[in-house]
Amino acid sequence: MIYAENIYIALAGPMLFSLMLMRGQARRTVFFLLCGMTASLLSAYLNSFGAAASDITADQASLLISPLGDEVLKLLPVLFYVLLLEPRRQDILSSALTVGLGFTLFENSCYIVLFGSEDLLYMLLRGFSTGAMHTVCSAVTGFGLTFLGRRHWPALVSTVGMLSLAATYHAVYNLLVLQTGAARNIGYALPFVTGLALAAALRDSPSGWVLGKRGGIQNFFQSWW
Amino acid sequence: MSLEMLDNLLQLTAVAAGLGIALKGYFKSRHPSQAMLAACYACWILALVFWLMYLGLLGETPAELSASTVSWWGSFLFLIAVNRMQRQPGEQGWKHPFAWLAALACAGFMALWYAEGLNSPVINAVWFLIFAGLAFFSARSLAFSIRKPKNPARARYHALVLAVLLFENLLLLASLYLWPEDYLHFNAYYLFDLLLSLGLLLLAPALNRAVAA
Repeated sequence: MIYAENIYIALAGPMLFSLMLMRGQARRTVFFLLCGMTASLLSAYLNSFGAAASDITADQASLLISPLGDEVLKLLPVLFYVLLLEPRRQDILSSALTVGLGFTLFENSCYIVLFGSEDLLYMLLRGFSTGAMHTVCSAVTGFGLTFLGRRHWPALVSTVGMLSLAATYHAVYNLLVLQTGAARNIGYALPFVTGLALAAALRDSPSGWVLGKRGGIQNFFQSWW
Repeated sequence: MSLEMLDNLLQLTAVAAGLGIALKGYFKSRHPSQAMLAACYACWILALVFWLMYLGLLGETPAELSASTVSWWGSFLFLIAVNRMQRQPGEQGWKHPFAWLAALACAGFMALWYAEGLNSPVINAVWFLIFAGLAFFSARSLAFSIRKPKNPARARYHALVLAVLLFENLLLLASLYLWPEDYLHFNAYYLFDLLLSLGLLLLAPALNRAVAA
Protein backbone atom coordinates (compact mmCIF):
# COMPACT_ATOMS: atom_id res chain seq x y z
CA MET A 1 0.00 0.00 0.00
CA ILE A 2 1.41 3.37 -0.97
CA TYR A 3 -0.03 6.86 -0.85
CA ALA A 4 0.14 7.79 -4.53
CA GLU A 5 -1.49 11.17 -3.89
CA ASN A 6 1.35 12.14 -1.56
CA ILE A 7 3.96 11.18 -4.16
CA TYR A 8 1.99 13.17 -6.71
CA ILE A 9 1.97 16.27 -4.51
CA ALA A 10 5.71 15.99 -3.90
CA LEU A 11 6.46 15.71 -7.62
CA ALA A 12 3.83 18.11 -8.93
CA GLY A 13 4.51 20.92 -6.43
CA PRO A 14 7.74 22.20 -7.98
CA MET A 15 6.27 21.79 -11.45
CA LEU A 16 3.22 23.89 -10.58
CA PHE A 17 5.46 26.55 -9.10
CA SER A 18 7.75 26.58 -12.16
CA LEU A 19 4.73 26.92 -14.45
CA MET A 20 4.16 30.41 -13.03
CA LEU A 21 7.71 31.45 -13.87
CA MET A 22 8.26 29.76 -17.22
CA ARG A 23 7.20 30.89 -20.66
CA GLY A 24 6.97 29.38 -24.14
CA GLN A 25 8.18 25.90 -25.02
CA ALA A 26 9.55 25.12 -21.54
CA ARG A 27 6.23 26.00 -19.92
CA ARG A 28 4.34 23.77 -22.35
CA THR A 29 6.71 20.88 -21.70
CA VAL A 30 6.29 21.12 -17.93
CA PHE A 31 2.52 21.50 -18.30
CA PHE A 32 2.24 18.30 -20.34
CA LEU A 33 4.56 16.45 -17.95
CA LEU A 34 2.13 17.42 -15.21
CA CYS A 35 -0.81 16.29 -17.33
CA GLY A 36 0.88 12.92 -17.85
CA MET A 37 1.44 12.50 -14.12
CA THR A 38 -2.18 13.44 -13.42
CA ALA A 39 -3.32 10.93 -16.04
CA SER A 40 -1.24 8.26 -14.31
CA LEU A 41 -2.84 9.02 -10.94
CA LEU A 42 -6.34 9.00 -12.43
CA SER A 43 -5.54 5.78 -14.25
CA ALA A 44 -4.64 4.11 -10.94
CA TYR A 45 -8.04 5.16 -9.55
CA LEU A 46 -9.83 4.02 -12.69
CA ASN A 47 -8.16 0.60 -12.68
CA SER A 48 -8.88 0.03 -8.99
CA PHE A 49 -12.49 1.11 -9.42
CA GLY A 50 -12.94 -0.94 -12.62
CA ALA A 51 -11.48 -4.07 -11.00
CA ALA A 52 -13.73 -3.70 -7.94
CA ALA A 53 -16.85 -2.90 -9.97
CA SER A 54 -16.30 -5.80 -12.41
CA ASP A 55 -15.21 -8.20 -9.65
CA ILE A 56 -11.96 -9.10 -11.40
CA THR A 57 -8.38 -9.44 -10.17
CA ALA A 58 -5.70 -6.79 -10.63
CA ASP A 59 -4.01 -8.95 -13.29
CA GLN A 60 -7.26 -9.25 -15.26
CA ALA A 61 -7.80 -5.50 -14.91
CA SER A 62 -4.33 -4.90 -16.35
CA LEU A 63 -5.42 -6.82 -19.46
CA LEU A 64 -9.00 -5.63 -19.85
CA ILE A 65 -9.31 -2.16 -18.28
CA SER A 66 -5.90 -0.55 -17.92
CA PRO A 67 -4.74 -0.56 -21.59
CA LEU A 68 -7.72 1.40 -22.89
CA GLY A 69 -8.10 3.52 -19.74
CA ASP A 70 -4.42 4.54 -19.74
CA GLU A 71 -4.40 5.45 -23.41
CA VAL A 72 -7.63 7.45 -23.24
CA LEU A 73 -6.40 9.39 -20.18
CA LYS A 74 -3.08 10.12 -21.91
CA LEU A 75 -4.89 11.22 -25.05
CA LEU A 76 -7.34 13.66 -23.41
CA PRO A 77 -4.94 16.54 -22.51
CA VAL A 78 -3.43 16.54 -25.99
CA LEU A 79 -6.88 16.24 -27.57
CA PHE A 80 -8.04 19.39 -25.75
CA TYR A 81 -4.80 21.13 -26.73
CA VAL A 82 -5.35 20.25 -30.40
CA LEU A 83 -9.04 21.18 -30.47
CA LEU A 84 -8.73 24.43 -28.49
CA LEU A 85 -5.39 25.88 -29.56
CA GLU A 86 -4.82 24.37 -33.02
CA PRO A 87 -1.07 23.96 -32.57
CA ARG A 88 1.48 23.10 -35.25
CA ARG A 89 1.59 19.41 -36.11
CA GLN A 90 5.16 18.95 -34.86
CA ASP A 91 4.07 20.35 -31.47
CA ILE A 92 1.20 17.84 -31.22
CA LEU A 93 3.51 14.84 -31.47
CA SER A 94 6.02 16.25 -28.97
CA SER A 95 3.19 17.16 -26.55
CA ALA A 96 1.79 13.62 -26.72
CA LEU A 97 5.25 12.20 -26.07
CA THR A 98 5.68 14.53 -23.08
CA VAL A 99 2.37 13.36 -21.62
CA GLY A 100 3.57 9.76 -22.01
CA LEU A 101 6.83 10.71 -20.32
CA GLY A 102 5.00 12.28 -17.35
CA PHE A 103 2.81 9.18 -17.08
CA THR A 104 5.86 6.90 -16.96
CA LEU A 105 7.74 9.12 -14.51
CA PHE A 106 4.90 9.06 -12.00
CA GLU A 107 4.23 5.35 -12.45
CA ASN A 108 7.92 4.51 -12.00
CA SER A 109 8.12 6.75 -8.91
CA CYS A 110 5.24 4.82 -7.35
CA TYR A 111 6.83 1.47 -8.21
CA ILE A 112 10.15 2.58 -6.70
CA VAL A 113 8.38 3.55 -3.47
CA LEU A 114 6.46 0.27 -3.50
CA PHE A 115 9.28 -2.18 -4.33
CA GLY A 116 12.46 -0.23 -3.52
CA SER A 117 15.31 0.64 -5.84
CA GLU A 118 17.83 -2.07 -4.90
CA ASP A 119 17.16 -4.39 -7.84
CA LEU A 120 19.01 -2.94 -10.83
CA LEU A 121 17.47 -5.42 -13.27
CA TYR A 122 13.98 -4.42 -12.19
CA MET A 123 14.87 -0.75 -12.57
CA LEU A 124 16.23 -1.41 -16.05
CA LEU A 125 13.03 -3.19 -17.00
CA ARG A 126 10.88 -0.37 -15.59
CA GLY A 127 12.91 2.19 -17.48
CA PHE A 128 13.57 0.56 -20.81
CA SER A 129 10.59 -1.74 -21.11
CA THR A 130 7.48 -0.32 -19.42
CA GLY A 131 8.75 3.23 -19.93
CA ALA A 132 9.45 2.56 -23.59
CA MET A 133 6.00 0.96 -23.95
CA HIS A 134 4.25 4.11 -22.69
CA THR A 135 6.40 6.23 -24.99
CA VAL A 136 5.57 4.07 -28.01
CA CYS A 137 1.84 4.19 -27.19
CA SER A 138 1.97 7.99 -26.76
CA ALA A 139 3.81 8.34 -30.06
CA VAL A 140 1.11 6.30 -31.81
CA THR A 141 -1.81 8.25 -30.33
CA GLY A 142 0.04 11.55 -30.84
CA PHE A 143 0.62 10.64 -34.46
CA GLY A 144 -3.12 9.95 -34.76
CA LEU A 145 -3.93 13.35 -33.21
CA THR A 146 -1.84 15.17 -35.78
CA PHE A 147 -4.54 14.21 -38.29
CA LEU A 148 -7.00 16.41 -36.38
CA GLY A 149 -5.33 19.57 -37.63
CA ARG A 150 -8.06 20.29 -40.16
CA ARG A 151 -10.97 19.13 -37.98
CA HIS A 152 -12.38 16.88 -40.67
CA TRP A 153 -14.34 14.09 -39.11
CA PRO A 154 -12.42 11.36 -40.97
CA ALA A 155 -9.41 12.64 -39.06
CA LEU A 156 -11.25 11.86 -35.84
CA VAL A 157 -11.89 8.36 -37.16
CA SER A 158 -8.15 7.88 -37.75
CA THR A 159 -7.39 9.22 -34.27
CA VAL A 160 -9.74 6.70 -32.66
CA GLY A 161 -8.15 4.01 -34.84
CA MET A 162 -4.68 4.99 -33.62
CA LEU A 163 -5.97 4.95 -30.03
CA SER A 164 -7.23 1.40 -30.49
CA LEU A 165 -3.86 0.40 -31.99
CA ALA A 166 -2.01 1.82 -28.97
CA ALA A 167 -4.42 0.23 -26.48
CA THR A 168 -4.06 -3.22 -28.04
CA TYR A 169 -0.28 -2.91 -28.18
CA HIS A 170 -0.39 -2.01 -24.47
CA ALA A 171 -2.66 -5.01 -23.76
CA VAL A 172 -0.36 -7.40 -25.65
CA TYR A 173 2.61 -6.10 -23.63
CA ASN A 174 0.73 -6.52 -20.34
CA LEU A 175 -0.36 -10.04 -21.32
CA LEU A 176 3.22 -11.07 -22.15
CA VAL A 177 4.85 -9.64 -19.02
CA LEU A 178 2.26 -11.35 -16.80
CA GLN A 179 3.59 -14.72 -18.02
CA THR A 180 6.79 -16.52 -17.04
CA GLY A 181 9.79 -17.63 -19.09
CA ALA A 182 10.23 -16.81 -22.76
CA ALA A 183 6.87 -15.04 -23.14
CA ARG A 184 7.80 -12.56 -20.42
CA ASN A 185 11.24 -11.92 -21.95
CA ILE A 186 9.64 -11.29 -25.35
CA GLY A 187 7.25 -8.89 -23.64
CA TYR A 188 10.08 -6.97 -22.01
CA ALA A 189 11.99 -6.72 -25.29
CA LEU A 190 8.95 -5.73 -27.38
CA PRO A 191 8.69 -1.99 -26.48
CA PHE A 192 12.42 -1.42 -26.82
CA VAL A 193 12.52 -2.96 -30.28
CA THR A 194 9.31 -1.18 -31.35
CA GLY A 195 10.57 2.11 -29.92
CA LEU A 196 13.78 1.89 -31.92
CA ALA A 197 11.86 1.02 -35.09
CA LEU A 198 9.43 3.91 -34.50
CA ALA A 199 12.28 6.34 -33.85
CA ALA A 200 13.88 5.34 -37.15
CA ALA A 201 10.54 5.64 -38.94
CA LEU A 202 9.63 9.06 -37.58
CA ARG A 203 13.08 10.57 -37.84
CA ASP A 204 12.87 13.74 -39.86
CA SER A 205 16.13 13.18 -41.70
CA PRO A 206 17.40 11.69 -44.97
CA SER A 207 17.28 8.24 -43.38
CA GLY A 208 13.66 8.57 -42.16
CA TRP A 209 12.60 5.60 -44.21
CA VAL A 210 8.85 5.50 -43.63
CA LEU A 211 7.76 9.10 -43.94
CA GLY A 212 9.86 10.10 -46.89
CA LYS A 213 13.47 10.96 -47.52
CA ARG A 214 13.01 14.71 -47.72
CA GLY A 215 10.72 16.60 -45.39
CA GLY A 216 9.79 13.51 -43.38
CA ILE A 217 6.60 13.97 -41.43
CA GLN A 218 5.71 17.26 -43.13
CA ASN A 219 5.71 15.57 -46.53
CA PHE A 220 3.29 12.97 -45.23
CA PHE A 221 0.75 15.60 -44.20
CA GLN A 222 1.21 17.77 -47.25
CA SER A 223 0.54 14.79 -49.47
CA TRP A 224 -2.74 14.18 -47.66
CA TRP A 225 -4.23 17.64 -47.22
CA MET B 1 -3.37 -28.00 -33.49
CA SER B 2 -7.09 -27.28 -33.35
CA LEU B 3 -9.06 -26.19 -36.40
CA GLU B 4 -9.85 -22.86 -34.74
CA MET B 5 -6.18 -22.13 -34.10
CA LEU B 6 -5.24 -23.14 -37.66
CA ASP B 7 -7.94 -20.88 -39.07
CA ASN B 8 -6.74 -17.95 -36.96
CA LEU B 9 -3.09 -18.53 -37.87
CA LEU B 10 -4.05 -18.63 -41.54
CA GLN B 11 -5.85 -15.31 -41.15
CA LEU B 12 -2.85 -13.89 -39.32
CA THR B 13 -0.60 -14.90 -42.22
CA ALA B 14 -3.00 -13.40 -44.77
CA VAL B 15 -3.23 -10.10 -42.87
CA ALA B 16 0.55 -9.96 -42.34
CA ALA B 17 1.03 -10.48 -46.08
CA GLY B 18 -1.52 -7.72 -46.70
CA LEU B 19 0.44 -5.43 -44.38
CA GLY B 20 3.61 -6.14 -46.34
CA ILE B 21 1.90 -5.39 -49.66
CA ALA B 22 0.32 -2.18 -48.28
CA LEU B 23 3.67 -0.95 -46.92
CA LYS B 24 5.42 -1.79 -50.19
CA GLY B 25 2.75 0.19 -52.04
CA TYR B 26 3.18 3.10 -49.63
CA PHE B 27 6.97 3.17 -50.08
CA LYS B 28 6.43 3.25 -53.83
CA SER B 29 3.71 5.89 -54.14
CA ARG B 30 3.75 7.65 -50.72
CA HIS B 31 -0.04 7.89 -50.83
CA PRO B 32 -1.43 8.28 -47.26
CA SER B 33 -4.38 5.97 -47.92
CA GLN B 34 -1.93 3.06 -48.17
CA ALA B 35 -0.45 4.04 -44.80
CA MET B 36 -4.00 4.00 -43.38
CA LEU B 37 -4.60 0.55 -44.85
CA ALA B 38 -1.32 -0.61 -43.29
CA ALA B 39 -2.60 0.75 -39.94
CA CYS B 40 -5.84 -1.21 -40.51
CA TYR B 41 -3.81 -4.39 -41.02
CA ALA B 42 -1.66 -3.59 -37.96
CA CYS B 43 -4.82 -3.24 -35.85
CA TRP B 44 -6.18 -6.53 -37.17
CA ILE B 45 -2.87 -8.31 -36.47
CA LEU B 46 -2.66 -6.98 -32.91
CA ALA B 47 -6.31 -7.90 -32.26
CA LEU B 48 -5.72 -11.42 -33.51
CA VAL B 49 -2.40 -11.77 -31.66
CA PHE B 50 -4.01 -10.63 -28.40
CA TRP B 51 -6.94 -13.00 -28.93
CA LEU B 52 -4.70 -15.99 -29.73
CA MET B 53 -2.28 -15.27 -26.89
CA TYR B 54 -5.11 -14.82 -24.41
CA LEU B 55 -6.60 -18.13 -25.55
CA GLY B 56 -3.24 -19.91 -25.62
CA LEU B 57 -1.77 -18.55 -22.37
CA LEU B 58 -4.85 -18.21 -20.18
CA GLY B 59 -6.98 -20.97 -21.72
CA GLU B 60 -10.09 -18.82 -22.24
CA THR B 61 -11.36 -16.25 -24.71
CA PRO B 62 -11.15 -12.55 -23.73
CA ALA B 63 -14.19 -10.70 -22.38
CA GLU B 64 -16.63 -9.25 -24.92
CA LEU B 65 -15.14 -5.77 -24.53
CA SER B 66 -11.44 -6.53 -24.72
CA ALA B 67 -8.43 -5.01 -26.44
CA SER B 68 -9.17 -7.30 -29.41
CA THR B 69 -12.68 -5.89 -29.87
CA VAL B 70 -11.40 -2.32 -29.68
CA SER B 71 -8.64 -3.11 -32.16
CA TRP B 72 -11.08 -4.68 -34.63
CA TRP B 73 -13.18 -1.52 -34.34
CA GLY B 74 -10.00 0.41 -35.11
CA SER B 75 -9.38 -1.71 -38.22
CA PHE B 76 -12.79 -0.88 -39.66
CA LEU B 77 -12.38 2.78 -38.71
CA PHE B 78 -9.14 2.86 -40.71
CA LEU B 79 -11.04 1.40 -43.67
CA ILE B 80 -13.46 4.34 -43.37
CA ALA B 81 -10.45 6.70 -43.35
CA VAL B 82 -9.06 4.99 -46.47
CA ASN B 83 -12.43 5.46 -48.15
CA ARG B 84 -12.48 9.18 -47.36
CA MET B 85 -8.94 9.61 -48.69
CA GLN B 86 -9.90 7.78 -51.87
CA ARG B 87 -12.99 9.85 -52.61
CA GLN B 88 -13.15 11.49 -56.01
CA PRO B 89 -14.19 15.06 -56.86
CA GLY B 90 -17.97 15.32 -56.76
CA GLU B 91 -18.42 12.20 -54.66
CA GLN B 92 -19.00 14.12 -51.43
CA GLY B 93 -22.72 14.73 -51.08
CA TRP B 94 -23.56 12.45 -54.03
CA LYS B 95 -26.71 10.45 -53.28
CA HIS B 96 -27.31 6.88 -54.40
CA PRO B 97 -29.91 4.38 -53.11
CA PHE B 98 -27.32 1.56 -53.08
CA ALA B 99 -25.47 3.35 -50.23
CA TRP B 100 -28.63 3.47 -48.08
CA LEU B 101 -29.40 -0.15 -48.96
CA ALA B 102 -25.96 -1.25 -47.73
CA ALA B 103 -26.45 0.60 -44.43
CA LEU B 104 -29.93 -0.91 -44.12
CA ALA B 105 -28.48 -4.41 -44.60
CA CYS B 106 -26.19 -3.73 -41.63
CA ALA B 107 -29.25 -2.76 -39.59
CA GLY B 108 -30.77 -6.14 -40.55
CA PHE B 109 -27.68 -7.96 -39.34
CA MET B 110 -27.77 -5.99 -36.09
CA ALA B 111 -31.40 -7.00 -35.54
CA LEU B 112 -30.31 -10.65 -35.82
CA TRP B 113 -27.53 -10.13 -33.23
CA TYR B 114 -30.06 -8.61 -30.84
CA ALA B 115 -32.49 -11.45 -31.49
CA GLU B 116 -29.81 -13.97 -30.47
CA GLY B 117 -28.64 -11.85 -27.52
CA LEU B 118 -25.08 -11.53 -28.84
CA ASN B 119 -22.88 -9.21 -26.73
CA SER B 120 -24.20 -6.24 -24.80
CA PRO B 121 -26.52 -3.78 -26.57
CA VAL B 122 -23.91 -1.01 -26.37
CA ILE B 123 -21.21 -3.12 -28.02
CA ASN B 124 -23.66 -4.21 -30.72
CA ALA B 125 -24.60 -0.57 -31.32
CA VAL B 126 -20.92 0.41 -31.78
CA TRP B 127 -20.41 -2.48 -34.21
CA PHE B 128 -23.51 -1.41 -36.12
CA LEU B 129 -22.44 2.23 -36.37
CA ILE B 130 -19.00 1.30 -37.70
CA PHE B 131 -20.34 -1.33 -40.10
CA ALA B 132 -23.17 0.90 -41.34
CA GLY B 133 -20.82 3.86 -41.84
CA LEU B 134 -18.29 1.79 -43.77
CA ALA B 135 -21.00 0.06 -45.82
CA PHE B 136 -22.63 3.40 -46.69
CA PHE B 137 -19.41 5.07 -47.83
CA SER B 138 -18.07 2.02 -49.65
CA ALA B 139 -21.35 1.41 -51.49
CA ARG B 140 -21.54 5.07 -52.50
CA SER B 141 -17.92 5.04 -53.70
CA LEU B 142 -18.56 1.81 -55.62
CA ALA B 143 -21.62 3.28 -57.34
CA PHE B 144 -19.69 6.47 -58.10
CA SER B 145 -16.73 4.53 -59.53
CA ILE B 146 -18.80 2.44 -61.96
CA ARG B 147 -20.71 5.35 -63.51
CA LYS B 148 -19.18 7.16 -66.48
CA PRO B 149 -16.24 7.81 -66.58
CA LYS B 150 -15.65 4.38 -65.12
CA ASN B 151 -12.88 3.69 -62.68
CA PRO B 152 -12.64 -0.12 -62.43
CA ALA B 153 -9.62 -0.20 -60.10
CA ARG B 154 -11.38 1.93 -57.47
CA ALA B 155 -14.61 0.01 -57.99
CA ARG B 156 -12.81 -3.29 -57.31
CA TYR B 157 -11.34 -1.94 -54.08
CA HIS B 158 -14.71 -0.70 -52.77
CA ALA B 159 -16.41 -3.95 -53.82
CA LEU B 160 -13.78 -5.88 -51.86
CA VAL B 161 -14.42 -3.77 -48.74
CA LEU B 162 -18.13 -4.57 -49.05
CA ALA B 163 -17.28 -8.27 -49.49
CA VAL B 164 -15.14 -8.19 -46.32
CA LEU B 165 -18.06 -6.64 -44.42
CA LEU B 166 -20.45 -9.25 -45.79
CA PHE B 167 -18.19 -12.20 -44.87
CA GLU B 168 -17.63 -10.76 -41.40
CA ASN B 169 -21.39 -10.62 -40.82
CA LEU B 170 -22.05 -14.00 -42.41
CA LEU B 171 -19.49 -15.80 -40.26
CA LEU B 172 -21.07 -14.23 -37.20
CA LEU B 173 -24.51 -15.40 -38.29
CA ALA B 174 -23.17 -18.89 -39.05
CA SER B 175 -21.75 -19.17 -35.55
CA LEU B 176 -24.98 -17.85 -34.04
CA TYR B 177 -27.68 -19.67 -36.02
CA LEU B 178 -26.38 -22.43 -38.31
CA TRP B 179 -23.68 -24.14 -36.24
CA PRO B 180 -23.96 -22.48 -32.82
CA GLU B 181 -20.57 -22.37 -31.10
CA ASP B 182 -19.30 -25.36 -33.09
CA TYR B 183 -15.61 -24.68 -33.63
CA LEU B 184 -14.48 -28.31 -33.79
CA HIS B 185 -15.72 -29.19 -37.29
CA PHE B 186 -15.27 -27.45 -40.61
CA ASN B 187 -18.52 -25.64 -41.37
CA ALA B 188 -19.82 -22.42 -42.93
CA TYR B 189 -18.25 -20.42 -40.12
CA TYR B 190 -14.78 -21.47 -41.24
CA LEU B 191 -15.70 -21.07 -44.89
CA PHE B 192 -16.74 -17.45 -44.34
CA ASP B 193 -13.68 -16.84 -42.17
CA LEU B 194 -11.41 -18.14 -44.94
CA LEU B 195 -13.21 -15.91 -47.43
CA LEU B 196 -12.77 -13.01 -45.01
CA SER B 197 -9.02 -13.72 -44.82
CA LEU B 198 -8.83 -13.83 -48.60
CA GLY B 199 -10.77 -10.56 -48.89
CA LEU B 200 -8.48 -8.87 -46.38
CA LEU B 201 -5.41 -10.09 -48.24
CA LEU B 202 -6.73 -8.78 -51.57
CA LEU B 203 -7.52 -5.32 -50.19
CA ALA B 204 -3.87 -4.20 -50.34
CA PRO B 205 -3.18 -5.02 -54.02
CA ALA B 206 -6.61 -3.63 -54.93
CA LEU B 207 -5.83 -0.33 -53.19
CA ASN B 208 -2.37 -0.19 -54.80
CA ARG B 209 -4.05 -0.46 -58.20
CA ALA B 210 -6.71 2.10 -57.24
CA VAL B 211 -4.00 4.56 -56.17
CA ALA B 212 -2.06 3.98 -59.38
CA ALA B 213 -5.18 4.43 -61.55
